[in-house]
Amino acid sequence: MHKQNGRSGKRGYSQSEVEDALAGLIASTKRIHRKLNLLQIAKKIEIARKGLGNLKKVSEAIGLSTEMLRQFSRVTKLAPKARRFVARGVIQRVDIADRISRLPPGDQFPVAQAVARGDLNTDDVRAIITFRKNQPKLPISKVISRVMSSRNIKEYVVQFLVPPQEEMKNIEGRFSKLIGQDGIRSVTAEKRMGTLLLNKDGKNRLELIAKKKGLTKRSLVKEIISGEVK
Amino acid sequence: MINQIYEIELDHINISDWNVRHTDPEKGLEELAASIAKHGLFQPVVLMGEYGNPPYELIIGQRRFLAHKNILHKKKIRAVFAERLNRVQASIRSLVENMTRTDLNHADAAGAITYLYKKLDRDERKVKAETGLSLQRIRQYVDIEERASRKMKEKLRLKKVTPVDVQRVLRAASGDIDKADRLLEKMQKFTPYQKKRMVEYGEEHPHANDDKIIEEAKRPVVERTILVKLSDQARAGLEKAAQKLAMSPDEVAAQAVEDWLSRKGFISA
Repeated sequence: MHKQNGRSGKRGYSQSEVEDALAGLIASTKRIHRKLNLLQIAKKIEIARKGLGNLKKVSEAIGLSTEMLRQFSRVTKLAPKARRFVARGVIQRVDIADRISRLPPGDQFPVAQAVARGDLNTDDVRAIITFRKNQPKLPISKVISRVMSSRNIKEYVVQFLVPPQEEMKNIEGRFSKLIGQDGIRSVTAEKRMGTLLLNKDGKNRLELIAKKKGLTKRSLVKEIISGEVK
Repeated sequence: MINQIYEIELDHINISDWNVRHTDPEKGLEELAASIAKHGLFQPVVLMGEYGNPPYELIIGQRRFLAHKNILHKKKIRAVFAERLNRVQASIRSLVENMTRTDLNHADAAGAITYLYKKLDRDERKVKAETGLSLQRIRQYVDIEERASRKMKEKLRLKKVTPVDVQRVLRAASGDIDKADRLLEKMQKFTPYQKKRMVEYGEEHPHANDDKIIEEAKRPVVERTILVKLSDQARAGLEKAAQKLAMSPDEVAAQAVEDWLSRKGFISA
């Protein structure tokens, strides 16, 4: 138990410091958009742990499992170069940061860099960890590229009716201008049934534009087809 | 009940068959002997039998015993006597003792756990209660012990493959053990994604040969997500169904569409 007044714990955190840490943790660990980065959260967990005596008490105080708290704490185990991505808030997901910290120190930066670029997701990092154990001598760049090239290919299909007065090449042009050619695999039409095939980047861009305009993806597509959005 | 510690002559001790460690008992023995020589033996070995009436059977502490005998050339060892145990009880004691360490070979653990499983009415919950192992881990050991080939077990013993990979090939081969052996050989440099596809394709195509399964596993699958506009009512219904059925809204939607198309005769069953 921490003392009611004055300093407590081995490092001597005061009651108010511990309470601040707990408040910060409650505010930052239970929402997706956090004010604190993962390293700041790990620091607060450490203050709370020392103040309260152990992780279980911190867990009870903020209503988060000890395993989850450990996951946050493991972020501090990241190699310095990889840790920078976390400190800058480029890597915000604790599960990804935790997984990267389990890789050999020399592998962490290239993987963190690929995550920051948006090339790897949580599943990919998990796959890299497993694959790395089987292939300890392979350069990490090859491990990353092997995992990336072995992923399933994700495509997003939007089907639409081509308005009678509209020409297909105009619709194609508007999609290309808005989403970018590299996000589109194909735009085709058979009779008056059009099909837009997007890759992941294209889908993400469509999502972003829809969000900015306060529309659903499907409504945005409808407006692009009708020419309301150019 | 374990009680008094005795100094027992090594010549009076036999290693029990009930001791679960059969693989590499001499591995790392030099280090253990050096540690015992420097610090002494902290933990006595556990024997079965009646003190004063040798020979005794060693059920826990085989490596400590071998270090004393073969490297340190001692005459005696510190030991305690376990209460009278039957074979199942002795196996449990030996297993629990060894499972807490990381170096117990998979093959030894699988053999011992499967023995207990059979003796305890093939009830994995009883094995869990006795050993403290998770049900998932017990199932994995039993599954491998009962279904894996000798070749696979040997590879596990040599740590050339993982238990998860053995389970994967057993699933992908749909009961054909030779096919499973060949798959295990060929999938060694696969990424986790390729391994997953191997299992999926193998299960869906039980008559496919190993070469075909490997070929398909290497080929990335194109997953297509169709963006559909839904009414607010349909969206709310989808969310409700997803919650009630503990499925993702995508899965519910895919199933609903497939059911409807099938009922209307647009896709064959």
